[in-house]
Amino acid sequence: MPASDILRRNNVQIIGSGEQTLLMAHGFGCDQNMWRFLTPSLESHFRIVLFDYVGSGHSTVSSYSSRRYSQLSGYSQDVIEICDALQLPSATFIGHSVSCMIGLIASIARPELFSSLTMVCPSPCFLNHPPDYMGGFDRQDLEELISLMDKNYIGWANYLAPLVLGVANQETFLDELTGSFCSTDPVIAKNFAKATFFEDNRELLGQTPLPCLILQSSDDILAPVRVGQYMNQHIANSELHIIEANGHCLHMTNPTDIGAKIKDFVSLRKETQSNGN
Amino acid sequence: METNISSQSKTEKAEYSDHFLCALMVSDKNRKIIFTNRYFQTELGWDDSRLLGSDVNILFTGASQIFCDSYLFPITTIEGRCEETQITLVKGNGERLPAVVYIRSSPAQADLLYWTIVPSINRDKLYEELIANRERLEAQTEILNSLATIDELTGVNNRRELMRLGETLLDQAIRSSRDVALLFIDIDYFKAINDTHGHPYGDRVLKQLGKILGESGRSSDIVGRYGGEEFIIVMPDASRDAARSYAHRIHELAASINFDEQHLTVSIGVSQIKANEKTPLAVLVDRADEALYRAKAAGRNCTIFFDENSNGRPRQINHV
Repeated sequence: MPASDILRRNNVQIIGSGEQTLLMAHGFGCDQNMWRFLTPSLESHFRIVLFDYVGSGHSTVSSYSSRRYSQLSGYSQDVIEICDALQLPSATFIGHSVSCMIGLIASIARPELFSSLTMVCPSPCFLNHPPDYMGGFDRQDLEELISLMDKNYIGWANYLAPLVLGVANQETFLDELTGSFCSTDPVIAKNFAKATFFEDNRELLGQTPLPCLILQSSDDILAPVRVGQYMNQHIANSELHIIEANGHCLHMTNPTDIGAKIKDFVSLRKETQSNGN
Repeated sequence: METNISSQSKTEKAEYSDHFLCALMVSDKNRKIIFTNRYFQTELGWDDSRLLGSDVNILFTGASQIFCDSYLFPITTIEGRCEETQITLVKGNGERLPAVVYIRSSPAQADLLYWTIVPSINRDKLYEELIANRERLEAQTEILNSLATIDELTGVNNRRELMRLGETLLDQAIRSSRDVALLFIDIDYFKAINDTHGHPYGDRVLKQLGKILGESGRSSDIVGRYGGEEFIIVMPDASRDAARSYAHRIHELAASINFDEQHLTVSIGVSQIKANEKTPLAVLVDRADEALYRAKAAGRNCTIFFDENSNGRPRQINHV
């Protein structure tokens, strides 16, 4: 597919300016709009590439293939195709939630695409695999969540709020929430949800060659602190920061903290690379 | 005895709420339960002592809590109400119960939330049946689609699907001025294979070649079975060299199929459209077929381009 078609297909937007490029990948249940709280503190330092996965936001729905997008590797392919279309020079990948694994998969397939990965509220596997790993949910829980999506789709498909903002943030975000609702096709959302909730990508953690910044919320039912610690242990070149916060959407609820961590991490990486030359 | 409503006390009127066949609850802005009707106790096995002052999440399964956080509460915050939403309750004894929830907020009264929770076992059963039926239909549709588009023996696209996909690809290529190459592949001496070894043997050869062709190309290539022992591959964004190189590879891959201590050979005819050329697919196929005919005449087991002679030199084409 020609570059221009891919940029249109994924509703790619480029903002900001700077020597380095950040590629921001949204999580399940929303679109690039969810980065709007974070980008203001970064766009004067970086060129920022935003996009919607096929099936989300203002992407071209006719390009959707349920087979391709029933696995996270299908979404990784979107990321790879966008990078190739833009010929991005070693961008920094920033993912939220499931996009952290999507970016990880892309970095293993094409290690030269990115210089580093930043993961906001990641989880490599939502299921519990006792005794060594507790992702937080039993299969029954997640199947029930998918089932609730099915049974309520007429309502929630039009109003899926970023998953999950957190109790303490609801009032603060009263006005912002109105803009945060994402309209999505329920069949597409269910496909994405299944891929998000049921894939186990723990084995891939050790395979990425890239340095990783892991940013975890201290109170997140979807990606608890112990999951962040597990990832830190299994990704060789990684650093973990626990942000005192409530909810799964740090880039929306705590953009100042996240922006600062990203700036520090990216500039340190740049310094390390310059010293190594 | 008539009931004199005006003389009833507030308490007596409040007790009306205990007789509804649904759970009625009020929570505060911190999601703590501040009121429940007796339905919780009589039908759901919950004591007030366990509920009052607790987080509303005590009543819901983990999945339902996520659903509440990501949908019910945000909707209620924005719109003042959330209606007819199915969740799963947890009863006092830990048992799960499907229920439908209505929530109304009341900013005038310190952000209280008013909950109506109605058990919905039958509705849930109906939903489960509908969902199961839908999944069955989807699976059947996928099988039917496959039968309608895939060549059963070889697993590649059947002729109809090959032409349909090829037309679409060609349209897109013409509109965006990209090259397309078409390879027409025919097994050499296939009739002899069938006559010597029987049709089941011939079918196995076809199946093997189909598998090889289906797996060897790029994901953007369209591979289909055009006729008995004929296959077509439509290659988007393929230069002349790329098409030649791929044809060469096909000869090598075909040779990996052995029978009677011989290696399978194929003849290949190639046609191309250039950027800005508006050639219909059928014409592209005819040209490749003509080139294939010349490949057979040249001794088989080779590739000829439509616009080349059998010695690889450009040939004069008189377009009619």
